[in-house]
Amino acid sequence: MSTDSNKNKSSLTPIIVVALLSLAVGLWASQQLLQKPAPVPKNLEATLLDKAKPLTDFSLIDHDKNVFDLKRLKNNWSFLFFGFTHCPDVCPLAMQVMKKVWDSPELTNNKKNLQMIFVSVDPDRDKPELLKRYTQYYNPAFIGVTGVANQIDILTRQLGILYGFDDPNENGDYNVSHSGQIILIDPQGNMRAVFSPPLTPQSIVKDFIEIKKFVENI
Amino acid sequence: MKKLTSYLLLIALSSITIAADKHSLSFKKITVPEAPPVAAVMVAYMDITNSSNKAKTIKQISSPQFKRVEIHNMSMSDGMMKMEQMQSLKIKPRATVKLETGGLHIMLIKPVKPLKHGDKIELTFKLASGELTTISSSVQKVDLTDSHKHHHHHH
Repeated sequence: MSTDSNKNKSSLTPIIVVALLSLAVGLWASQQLLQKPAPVPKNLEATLLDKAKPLTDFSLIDHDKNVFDLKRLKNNWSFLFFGFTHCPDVCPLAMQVMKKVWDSPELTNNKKNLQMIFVSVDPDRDKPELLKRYTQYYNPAFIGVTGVANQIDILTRQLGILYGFDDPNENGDYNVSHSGQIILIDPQGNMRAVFSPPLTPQSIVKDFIEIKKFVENI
Repeated sequence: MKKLTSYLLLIALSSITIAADKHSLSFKKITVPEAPPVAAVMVAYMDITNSSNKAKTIKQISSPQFKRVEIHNMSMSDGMMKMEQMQSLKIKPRATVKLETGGLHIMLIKPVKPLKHGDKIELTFKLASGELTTISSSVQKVDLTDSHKHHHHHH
């Protein structure tokens, strides 16, 4: 009886080993499948770029007159909006949207790797001191950025942002026509997504969380 | 007696019509959102209803709290948000024009002093007929993202 069972055991051993091995291989393979090709998020309101678009360097200044270049976009997820402070309608709305995204409870744990940037395309009127008071009205952490026109253009052209100055009126006032999109840049300095009007904070937060998860798992 | 009553009623009704014609524009949902204290421009949104039988044209708006007031229309053009000054705003008989985010708005240019939540503002509308109407409101902290959502849904 005991001899029989011993005999059975020894003949079973290779089978068990093979079974365990294939189980391990199967688990490893499924892990690879689950982890590697992160599924591209679907049903986004945002436009996710098919391929991350690396940005080339530019040289602007922030509201404290520090250099604001490509390095400042690295190690953080950045939301960028382009406008001007003499903008009564579109920009205050976009700033409030950015504020709501920033304040959303879903992003509480991500704030230290997040930055909200308002780039003024109207450097003649939007000096750094004014930009600082403008952006800080919305949130003290927000960053106002501007610079010389050709450096602004290096950035806007890469991001597909358009702007143009209208002719001044008899009072010397002028309006600036500009794109209404918010651009998302990843921590490697790649353009990743575009949020187009109508901008809603809820959908931006939802899409951002999915895009971030997707990018971090690639 | 019955005839007299209906005659009096007719007079009463016609006088109401005249009264309504005199104050033909009514202003609802007047909103002047607070802006950053450094902002050189602010905006006013409202619904303007013309309850008369004649079209009304707003030719000019002024305010003691601002250097200038203009009517602007925001529209998409070549992928950009473009603002256009309008020389006048015509409101058809028995119609309402909505001034709201992403479209028509009253642009309040260069506040005489920085304005914040609770500060009173007055706007005087001058019509093509010469009629003047003054409305008053106050600056408020407004969630623009909410009104925008409404705007989006209704149109």
